[in-house]
Amino acid sequence: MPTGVPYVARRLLGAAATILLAVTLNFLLFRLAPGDASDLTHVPGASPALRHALRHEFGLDQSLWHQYLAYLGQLAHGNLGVSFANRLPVADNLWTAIGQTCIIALPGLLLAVVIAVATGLLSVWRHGTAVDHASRGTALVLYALPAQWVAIVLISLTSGWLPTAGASDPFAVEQSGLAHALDVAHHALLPAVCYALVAYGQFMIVVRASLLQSLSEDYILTARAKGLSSWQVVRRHALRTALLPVTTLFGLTLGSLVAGIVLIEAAFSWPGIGLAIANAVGARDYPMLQGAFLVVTVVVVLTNLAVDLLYRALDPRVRVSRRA
Amino acid sequence: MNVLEVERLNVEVAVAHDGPPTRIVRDASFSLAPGQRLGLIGESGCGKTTTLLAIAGLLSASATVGGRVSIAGVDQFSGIAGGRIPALARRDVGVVFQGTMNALNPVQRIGAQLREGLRAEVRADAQLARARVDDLLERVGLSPTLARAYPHELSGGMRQRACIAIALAGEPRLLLADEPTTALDTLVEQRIVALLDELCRELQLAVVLVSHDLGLAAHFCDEIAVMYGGRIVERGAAAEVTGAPHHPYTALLLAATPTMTSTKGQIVSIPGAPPDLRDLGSGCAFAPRCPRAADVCAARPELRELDAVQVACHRAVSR
Repeated sequence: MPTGVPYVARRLLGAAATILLAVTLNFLLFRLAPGDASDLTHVPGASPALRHALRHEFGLDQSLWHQYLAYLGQLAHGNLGVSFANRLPVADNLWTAIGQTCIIALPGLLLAVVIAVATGLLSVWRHGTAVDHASRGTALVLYALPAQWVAIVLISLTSGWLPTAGASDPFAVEQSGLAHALDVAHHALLPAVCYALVAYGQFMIVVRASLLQSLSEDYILTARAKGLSSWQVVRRHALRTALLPVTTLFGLTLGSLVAGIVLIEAAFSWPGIGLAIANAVGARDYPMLQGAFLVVTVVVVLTNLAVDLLYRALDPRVRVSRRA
Repeated sequence: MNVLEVERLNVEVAVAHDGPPTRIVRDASFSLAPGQRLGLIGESGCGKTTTLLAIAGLLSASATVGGRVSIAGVDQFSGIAGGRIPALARRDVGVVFQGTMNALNPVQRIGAQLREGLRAEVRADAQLARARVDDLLERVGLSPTLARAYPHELSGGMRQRACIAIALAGEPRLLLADEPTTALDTLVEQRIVALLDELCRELQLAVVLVSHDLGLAAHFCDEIAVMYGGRIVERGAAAEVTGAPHHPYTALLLAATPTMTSTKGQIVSIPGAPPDLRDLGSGCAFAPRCPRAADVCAARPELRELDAVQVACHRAVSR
């Protein structure tokens, strides 16, 4: 490893290269699929002249190379193109969608991690007992369940007393800011809980396993020999090292959690990036899909970058071995 | 008053989840006055570390402890209660583990790990605590600047020194050391032993040293207890036990110990393996490996006074 380039700069370069590669693959993926947006399935009964005009308007009659360079050029200016479906700038569409996704995904993830750490601790504290088996069993079952199934069960269990579709009450007029926020929170409750349930299982299993691992280390004995209470030993010595793998898992699983968000948002008709992807696939809305995939890629790459940098802060051993 | 009194210590550990408990330590008794040092020696699996952990109150919850352990006059547990040492008394005990491995938390600075071991009233005063941490580091021959270091930035010997500093942080009167020099090279080992020796003398610490190195124990300790199959089989002044062993096991251990100056070429190994503690039978545990075993060894020998030592062997004779 060159010692001249600082670690952070190298990681940033790597992240940028990953994103460029993903952009290229994104672009090619849709062009390689048969058919295009002017297909008869999408524009029924279109005359050849109309189809030709559409293809020209969207630039689909140009060579692949031209389309790619044009795409990169526009991208560099922050222009993600115009949605084939609603003729609005993709960037605007995505920006709104990301905000909506954050409303359910961030509290959902936070809830999942907090409960995973709490039940992981409980499981380890009561290691080998029925409590341990029950909580580990629950986590395994939740991990195995498909996201859309969890969504459907939640909807059928709570229909009638919790909103199950959309992000706000479509019939509410002239809401104050607070009333609107409460309305959105009310609507977000089910999708967020669903997201938390889907994400929870693997976090709990990893927290439990790595806690058991770090509790069996020699330094736990040293800590106990100092006369620290059990809770102090766990909090100061076991938990910190046990949370290192959880940090890694967070970055690694973000990709699969994005897949979950598509299913969950589709089930709850939540107007986030997942629903945008689902709808754009149906409409063969290239610019929207490309934009959405780009955003997802950037989020995953940046999260992993953040995890790597966080890991350096949490584990001093990494700092030295990277420097060496 | 004795700093440590151990009376008929018994430790049972359930190895399998619902299996029958295995008795790891059987009827171990000894006591230490201030400044006195006892070496517990024997092969792996003879119960020496378990004895040490039982005294320190560090056994896992699956272990049950019987007998009496009293530290500085305070009974640590009574009867068969899976006793944890009360926090107050534990401050009188410092434990040194094998520092080269993983005895230090890899993600915490040395200074923070030392601070945790300080007595609560010292820790409460930040300035006093910092001064005490610097002092502890200097005492074990480390630079106070190393308080900011992480364990992986230290060498094996430095880590062992840090472990000793942690053990001393609570101002103990009793030091329990579990293989404190294993995995160190000979030169570093000598320096660590010299350091321990000096500190224990200065602080008048009573010491229990667990080691499989008879030479080290004989050099460092006043008294030696040889353990086999969970029992103390020979106990006495270090010079007596290592100079003229009465128990055949002690004699074989000595013959198996190489020395720097020895000219007798071959090192003798003890045939066979340490006994299975789950199935010890009713006789002498060492009989199956003993060159002097006889019919009488089918009955278990009790510790008896012989010359200046205590020995649990039917065949041992006075010299």
